[in-house]
Amino acid sequence: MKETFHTAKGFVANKNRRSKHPQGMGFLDALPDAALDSVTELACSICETPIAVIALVDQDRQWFKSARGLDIGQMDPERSFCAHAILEPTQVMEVQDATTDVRFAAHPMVTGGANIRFYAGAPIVTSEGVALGAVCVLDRVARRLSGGQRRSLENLASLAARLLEHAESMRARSQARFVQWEQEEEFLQAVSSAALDLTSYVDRTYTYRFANDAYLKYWERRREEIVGKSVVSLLGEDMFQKAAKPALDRAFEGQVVSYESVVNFPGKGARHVKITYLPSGARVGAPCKGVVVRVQDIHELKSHELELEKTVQLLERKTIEQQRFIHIVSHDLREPLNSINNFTSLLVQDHRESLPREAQRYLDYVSAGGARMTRLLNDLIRFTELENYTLDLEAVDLNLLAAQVRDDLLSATLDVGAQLHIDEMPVVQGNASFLRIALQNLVSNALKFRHPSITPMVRVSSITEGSDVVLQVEDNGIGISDEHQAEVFDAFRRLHNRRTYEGTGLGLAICKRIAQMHGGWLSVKSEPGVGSCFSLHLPSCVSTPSGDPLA
Amino acid sequence: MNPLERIILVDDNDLDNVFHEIIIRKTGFKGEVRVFESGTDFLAFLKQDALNLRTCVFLDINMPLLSGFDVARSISPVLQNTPGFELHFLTSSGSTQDKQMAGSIPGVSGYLVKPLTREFLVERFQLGT
Repeated sequence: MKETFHTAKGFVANKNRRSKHPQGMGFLDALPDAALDSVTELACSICETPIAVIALVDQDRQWFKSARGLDIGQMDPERSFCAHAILEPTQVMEVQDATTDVRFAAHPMVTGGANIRFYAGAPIVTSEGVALGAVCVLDRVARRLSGGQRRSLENLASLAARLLEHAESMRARSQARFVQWEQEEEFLQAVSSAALDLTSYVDRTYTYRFANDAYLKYWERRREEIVGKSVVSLLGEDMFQKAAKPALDRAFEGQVVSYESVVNFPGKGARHVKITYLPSGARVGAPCKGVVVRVQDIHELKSHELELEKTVQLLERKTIEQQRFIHIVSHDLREPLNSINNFTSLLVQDHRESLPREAQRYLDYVSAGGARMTRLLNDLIRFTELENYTLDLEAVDLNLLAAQVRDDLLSATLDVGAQLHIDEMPVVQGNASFLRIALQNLVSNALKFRHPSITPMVRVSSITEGSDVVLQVEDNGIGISDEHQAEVFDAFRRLHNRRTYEGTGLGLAICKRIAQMHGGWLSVKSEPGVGSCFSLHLPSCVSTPSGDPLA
Repeated sequence: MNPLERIILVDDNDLDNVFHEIIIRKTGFKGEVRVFESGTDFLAFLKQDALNLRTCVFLDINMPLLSGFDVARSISPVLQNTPGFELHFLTSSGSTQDKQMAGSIPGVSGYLVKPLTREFLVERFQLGT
């Protein structure tokens, strides 16, 4: 027993070392035992010996794989005949009488109970020329093999070699498959665990076969509380019957099913999710074995979408409100303006000649102002009526424009005793009517919001920055505090205070629109008690100096 | 056809009515000029009118309570079946939408943007010749 134990231990030790064998002979432990037993049986019957052994060796050790007529436990793997046999891998080694052979006379197998006299060993050599061991026949009487027996023993050895090689290639292939499968499994596990989407696999009995980490987290369950359990036990009867089961049934038929829903997860609360049921392994005609359920948490996306939708609706409503407001106001303005124009025209037609020269001049101013106002109003109405109003651009001399504005606002300027300075300015590309409205509004505001105890000074100037022109209107009025500076351009704020701030509601909003129509913007710098400076930025508005716009 | 005997102005803007009457008179029109400041008043008058004078109605569109469109629609059968009784919208709105709306009412003769001009009256009714 002690001997057997020792041998087994040696065998185990060998096994470990063999796995590191440079020739890759790890297959030695995966032998087709039954086939090798047949080889030893054949060896005995062909060579007419009571004992046949297949011994395998590696660099350090040797051991027996199949033995006939001898208890393997009785053999000492440390001291085998076979080591000698494979020294000469191309031929059969034959020891006809071990007692007369110096190499084996003192061998325990010869002197001991086994009482071996005869040994013949044919080396097992792989196709690559590596000697793996030997097929040996032994006898307790001295004898010799015939030529036929020797050749047969060689054949049996090469059969054993082929069997071993075949076994090795089978083993190597399945080993490689196993490694690959293990790797794939590892990748899949890692991917599905790291995924933010909830993933599970449900088989045709509505039982979970797989659930990833996200799935467990959302449902606040341990893996064993989901995997192997029924879908209904997790979702509850209601959700299962109404949503999950119909979707699963369609997926089992091979359809991809997808829908959005709100699910109340124990671990996350109510979440807006997109659930997709993907039939698994469904080839055409083949039955679907199960369904991959993918749950994507689109809660944030969905709430952003809803928010955006609300904002867009609000914007649309505001735009419509604003346009309707401008529309109504311009129509309301048109009625009194029409009256002024109508009766002015009657005055001009019927009574101009009878008026003093001075009165005639004043009447002409009224008439011209009314006509211009009508034009502007028509422009403004057109502006609100047409969604994509494109400006007719022309060369506009800002000096001329400012002079016209000075005339327009002459009485207002005189009334408040203001001084209006106009600097030398360039010719720009723009729309004269609209730019005149803008400048008029800005100057008119400068006069309106004057400082009560200082002579109002208003300065109209411009800065040229590359191809951009900035038209500036500067005053020494009451100014605007920082927190209100952004609001002054907002038509709606002004709208609600229309009674308090009569006549000022739309002015700056229109200026802003006019700036935008020119591709520019309106800005303000102001200090309470010191004054304001409004800047109308007109990008790429410098007119060609030659006056030829095509040049 | 008889010369024009009556002009009816329907407009809530009294200044426009005054002006238009002056323009009409300046063409030398000697017939009747009637002014109504609401569609309701005009409709009440029309109910008891014999409709035997050659008449032209100038109807404003933007009026409180009863719009010019409402008025024109309610008297559309009269307009279609009474020879010598015609109606023109006279409005400050030049919007395409309003023009289309006006064109869809059967019996309406025209759509004018204010103010009413001597040229129109002269050409249409041979006034002032």
